[in-house]
Amino acid sequence: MDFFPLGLSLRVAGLATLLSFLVGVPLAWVLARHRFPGRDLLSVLIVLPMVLPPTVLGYYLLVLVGRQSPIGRFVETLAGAPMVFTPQAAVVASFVAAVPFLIRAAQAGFEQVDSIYEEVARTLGRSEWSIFLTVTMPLAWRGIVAGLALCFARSIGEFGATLMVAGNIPGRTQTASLAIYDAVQAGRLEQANLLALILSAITAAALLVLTRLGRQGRW
Amino acid sequence: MSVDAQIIKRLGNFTVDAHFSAPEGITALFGPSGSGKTSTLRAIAGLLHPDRGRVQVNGRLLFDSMGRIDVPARDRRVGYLFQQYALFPHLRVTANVGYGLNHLSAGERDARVASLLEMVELPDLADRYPGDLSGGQQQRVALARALAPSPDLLLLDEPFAAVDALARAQLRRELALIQEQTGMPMLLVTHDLAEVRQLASFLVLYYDGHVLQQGPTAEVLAAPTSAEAVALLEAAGA
Repeated sequence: MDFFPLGLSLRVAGLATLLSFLVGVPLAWVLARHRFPGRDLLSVLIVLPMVLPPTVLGYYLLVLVGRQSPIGRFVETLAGAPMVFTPQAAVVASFVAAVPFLIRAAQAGFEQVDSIYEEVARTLGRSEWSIFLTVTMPLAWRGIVAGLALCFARSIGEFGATLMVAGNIPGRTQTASLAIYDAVQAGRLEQANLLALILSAITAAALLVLTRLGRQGRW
Repeated sequence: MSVDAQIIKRLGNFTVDAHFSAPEGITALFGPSGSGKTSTLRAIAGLLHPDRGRVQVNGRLLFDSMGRIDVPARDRRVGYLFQQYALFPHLRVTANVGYGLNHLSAGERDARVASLLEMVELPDLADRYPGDLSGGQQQRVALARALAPSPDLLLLDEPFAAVDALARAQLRRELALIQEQTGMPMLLVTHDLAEVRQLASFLVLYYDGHVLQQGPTAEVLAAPTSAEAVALLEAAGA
């Protein structure tokens, strides 16, 4: 039994979730706290990956980071190798598919924070950045954690977009969900069973831990 | 003058156009709700940006639309006590009170927080969360938090409206005592004429976004100069 796909799935989902946190939390805050031209369009663009067929998403990504695109060529000169059909491409695919879940939940979390707390913090002489870290983020924590849980779960389950940009190379880019597909196709049902069970258990455990985390705090 | 404020601000179809100069001690901003008192406090604190005007505290210019001066709220050294306390619900009492003291070392901060909790008579509640405190206790913690950075001016927006009558009477006495000890000028927004008489040495009457009259409390109460001022004071039971 080859456990490489499971390890890869965990690493890809972990990195995609981390990337989503770094990009998604500030974006969610901007959407929750600011009105600006193009805000509705930005919201739509953020939801789009949730509703588009993953193959379409993967296709766009392929166009965006493929060897013919400016971004793809830039990465290729930087890394010395093309980005498509690498584990890194799988992270990008998971990130794009999963970050909307984090943004939506975190935005709802930020919207529930009464701005009076930020105002009183300002009158106490604290900088905006320090207020964000010590007041806004902790008070929006439940929404952010719920978003992280959904984001991680969506990343673990990523299939279509990953297949398009990272391929299905055993031992290199074949994640657990792709390996399960291959195993079923090849009639290796025992392997499919085991992988599916382990994947479900890991995802359930991660959701459980994050649910507990989100419930902490006494307010 | 401790506070010189001229605030002109359009808020939807309502316009605040208020101008007053308050001396040291406690000054009451008195008037019906929606007459622009809270907007005035918010503008002095830097939480609301007037369309035009000037704000000066103890000779320090904080806002001037002519000179394009607009000191950010965090640099104004103006404390603000909100009606609904606004204690950080995720921080213990000590962390709430010490929130504006992050420039001090941990040891200095702890000592200052302890002495402030002593002053508001809540030393035993240091490790509690705001959700575990009564309204009166929460407001005292909020007062200690606002006083912690030793602001040049303290703004109080109906600070006793949400607590019960017994706690209110005690809080008023404590506030008067703290003002006497620190000499800190205070602006107090209130609906309550008894509060004005008990606490404020100077009175500013607000009506419909404007200042009707200002002066030492006893003089204003004894000699309102306009029909609106008479009606305002009569409605409040003067």
